[in-house]
Amino acid sequence: MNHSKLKPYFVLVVVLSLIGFTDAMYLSAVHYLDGAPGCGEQGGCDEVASSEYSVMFGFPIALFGLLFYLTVFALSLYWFDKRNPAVPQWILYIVSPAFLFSMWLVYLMLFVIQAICWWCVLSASTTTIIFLSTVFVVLKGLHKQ
Amino acid sequence: MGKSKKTKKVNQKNIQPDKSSFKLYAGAGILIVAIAVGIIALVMSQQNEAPDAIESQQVVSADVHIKGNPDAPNQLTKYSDFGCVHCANQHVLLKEFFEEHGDNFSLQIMHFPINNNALSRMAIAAALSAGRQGQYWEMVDLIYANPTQWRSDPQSAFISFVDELGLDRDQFVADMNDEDMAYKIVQDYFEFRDMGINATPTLFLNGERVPNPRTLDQLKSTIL
Repeated sequence: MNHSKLKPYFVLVVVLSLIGFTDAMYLSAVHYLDGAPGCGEQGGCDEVASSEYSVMFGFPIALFGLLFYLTVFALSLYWFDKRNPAVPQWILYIVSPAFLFSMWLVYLMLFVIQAICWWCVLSASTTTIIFLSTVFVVLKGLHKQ
Repeated sequence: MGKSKKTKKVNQKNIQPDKSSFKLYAGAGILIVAIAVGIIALVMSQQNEAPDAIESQQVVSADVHIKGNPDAPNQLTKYSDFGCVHCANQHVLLKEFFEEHGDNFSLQIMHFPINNNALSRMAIAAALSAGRQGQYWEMVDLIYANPTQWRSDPQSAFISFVDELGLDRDQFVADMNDEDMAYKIVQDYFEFRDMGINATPTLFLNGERVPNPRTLDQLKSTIL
């Protein structure tokens, strides 16, 4: 089995999931640690991250993102450990709904809330790149070679 | 002896990959925890660093408008930006609060246009100009309630507010163009910034900082 073809993919996924984790951690921390949100001279108003759309089932959406990135990160580590060729397929099962949900959030941000949250844009980007690269790997059958 | 040596070797071989797995997962775990701790520390250090107390008799150069009872023992001061959605939310809470407790409280808005932005300064001028015709708080309500309207097309939005309140258009436009008022709005901004105000809304009760409430009940439990 040729693992070297999958290695760049998993290095990319590890890096992106760490960036996504850091981002989601920041948004979750802001949600739980800041009192009521405000607008500061150093940054934006967190208008998106503190909107009614930022909470689902009583939890901030960022927390779901945190779990998602942590799972993808753990799966990538598992591949580095066991070189299990099924891992890209597993990641695809997780990243596909995450990608669709991310697109929905981008739609809400741009057309409903009408404000930009750069932390949310960053998260949507990392999810999109993980999704596209995983689709590429699985469609090309790189994991089966 | 020979046999036990052999077993030892076999055991070591079995343990080897587990050790490297352990290192991989332990290293990753430490990295994740380090990121989490770092981010939490960063967020905690970023919290609104406005002073815990201010001089209650702060000199304000722009026109003064007091809501509630001006002689009330409980004086609320709110540093606020018209362009800030959270200030608008807090304004709704305070409005509800004053319907019930207006006799015992007074409220003054200190206009703090974040980063001295021109659009918010224009909204402040609109509120103060309406104030010169006796409808400051009514204009404040309209500005907070319709942010997208005046942020996208300020001139026609403010004129429509003027018509809605039945104000004299010409007088309003003349006041909006009052350079002295425009200067005082900027002067206030820099004065507040020098005091340490750097975020909105920032609320004080008799000069003591009050944490921003999320709900009316939270506001009541904090200041009553």
